[in-house]
Amino acid sequence: MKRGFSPDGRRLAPERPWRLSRSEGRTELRAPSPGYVRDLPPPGTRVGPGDACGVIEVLGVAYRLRIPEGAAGFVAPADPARPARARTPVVFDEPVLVLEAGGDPVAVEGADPAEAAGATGHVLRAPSSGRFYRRPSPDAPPFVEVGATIRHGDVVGLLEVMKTFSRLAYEGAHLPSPARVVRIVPADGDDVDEDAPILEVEPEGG
Amino acid sequence: MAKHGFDPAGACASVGAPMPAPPGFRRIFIANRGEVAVRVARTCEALGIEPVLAVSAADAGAPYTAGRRTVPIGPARASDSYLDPVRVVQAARQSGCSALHPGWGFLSERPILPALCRQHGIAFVGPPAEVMARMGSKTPAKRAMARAGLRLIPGSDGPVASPDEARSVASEVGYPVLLKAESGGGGRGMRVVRRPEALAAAFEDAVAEAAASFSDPRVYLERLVEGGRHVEIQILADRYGNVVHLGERDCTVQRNHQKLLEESPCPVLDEAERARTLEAAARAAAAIGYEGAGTMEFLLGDDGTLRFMEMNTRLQVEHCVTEMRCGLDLVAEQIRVAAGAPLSMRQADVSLTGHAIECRINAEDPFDDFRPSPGRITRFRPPAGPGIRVDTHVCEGAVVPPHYDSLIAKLVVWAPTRAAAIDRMRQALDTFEIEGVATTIPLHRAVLASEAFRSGDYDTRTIPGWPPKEAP
Repeated sequence: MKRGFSPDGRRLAPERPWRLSRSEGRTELRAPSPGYVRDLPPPGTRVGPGDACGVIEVLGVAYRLRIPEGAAGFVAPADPARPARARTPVVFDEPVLVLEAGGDPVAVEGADPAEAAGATGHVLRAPSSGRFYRRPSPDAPPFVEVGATIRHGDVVGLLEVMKTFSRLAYEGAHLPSPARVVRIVPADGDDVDEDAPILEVEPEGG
Repeated sequence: MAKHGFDPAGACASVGAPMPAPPGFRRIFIANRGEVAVRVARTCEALGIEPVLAVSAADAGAPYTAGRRTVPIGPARASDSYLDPVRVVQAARQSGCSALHPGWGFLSERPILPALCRQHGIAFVGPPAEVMARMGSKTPAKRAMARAGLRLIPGSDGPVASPDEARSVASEVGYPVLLKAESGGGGRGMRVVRRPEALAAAFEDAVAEAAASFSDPRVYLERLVEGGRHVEIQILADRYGNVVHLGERDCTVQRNHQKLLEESPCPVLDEAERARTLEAAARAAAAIGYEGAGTMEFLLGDDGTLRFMEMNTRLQVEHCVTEMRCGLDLVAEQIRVAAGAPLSMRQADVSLTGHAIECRINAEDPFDDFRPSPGRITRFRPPAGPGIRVDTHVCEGAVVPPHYDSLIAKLVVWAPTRAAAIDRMRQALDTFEIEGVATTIPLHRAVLASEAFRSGDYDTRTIPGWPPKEAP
């Protein structure tokens, strides 16, 4: 094994930032390259700097698209003129999503309550789809409990992706540290989608 | 030829006659910009193929893209747009193109481009990646050419490993010598050495520069041929081993290794040497399994011998000079070959007539050390008439962006003789009106008016008639 190698899915998956274009409280997320965009968050999702938000496939390589510094808001409803597709071809600098600042998230009928962002707005999300485990082994105690204090770098669970386990660490520029765990969203052994909320936290002492 | 689905009558047609579309290509992606993109797009449109143009943010909405399908691929900076093979091939794929034409410059000689195209099911209009890679490194190219009977500039057999080895090769071939980067180009990693004492230091410099510029520290050594003329041979090959040559071009009028004016035929080349080298060049191309259009560059020394320098595995800027003499559309031939068709002509079918000259009109100020002159073109009136061709992507109101090459137009003329071609070119230059940006037109007028150019008395070290003796 190479020195410095970490079987952490988030480090191995290639990433690209969205391009930003701002005007009057609206932030447009534009494609950084030609490619196929997929797995965009549903309207009403709250996203902030550092969050993974959709995927762009370029010559068969799936890059996770990250929200760059200084952009946050709720995903606006999709343009009805634009057909919804599983994979949408985009060109460089093409506007793909619009973020609306402030206000309440747009109500979406039939949305899974577990998908909605927590009241604190500080949510650790799954870096990829997979099966979530709260404990390092079936007999061991959980990594974290509600009410525990965690810091950046702390391991909060395991994610099994295609028979490979990776440690799920509490990390992200948008997340407070130290922080108190408010809620652990999935149960032990639940299947989670990419970007699904894992932990809701609030700043310690906040 | 009917078994390949080609109409033999159409296949042998000259420029202007209707040509059938090659089977399979309905849409071709053009991984280039400006004049190059326009040149390729025009032939695609004539063949009934839809061209799709890659554009950077600087070229989006440029006049040459009007009415044509474009795919924005990246920002103005070339390394993130026209020079990024991944973006280019992805854009070709998602726009539904079954072939990709690289043009010249940018990625056209990078083997990664045909390799990625092959991996993603897109036909590349050019040679296969492995042939491109072999001809792009100097030593294997020279060995292959020597085997096929081309003469070489005396030098090391492959890269030289140490200053001592360089010194022993240099004493064999005789000073002055030239150290050149194995993977180089554009003059980087190159050192001239006139005395044995200077060799060790020059060797270290060349190795360091080659490593920094091309990630390949290997250098080789050859005798420096001072002056001389730059002559190149256009060849065309299909994937079935058929090769034709389309004569030579003389590109001696240069400044800092940048060609300014090209003509065909070479005005000073001995007839027997021409015939021998043209024939050997075609044989060499067949021997290396070449495919598509390519150019072999030679140095014509004082002794009248053509010696092989390198091969360009692509079409060149000055291919129009050859088109004027042979009546073929080289881009159309490239596309047919890429579609799997055999060459539409044999050597005996190729007839080269008259004399052709091309002047590269660059947005540079020849009176201010060729300072680039980007900006808005406020007036653009190209010349017209029999035997005059202007290839350009600009028009009145177009903006020449500061990010790319300064070429804004190529003025090409044909006439039965060299003297008549010079006269026609001078007339055409006199009536070519461009305002808003400085251009190299005054330089071309001075060159064509000079006695040295008319008599053919110049080499690559000097520009005939330039700088002008008295103020213009």
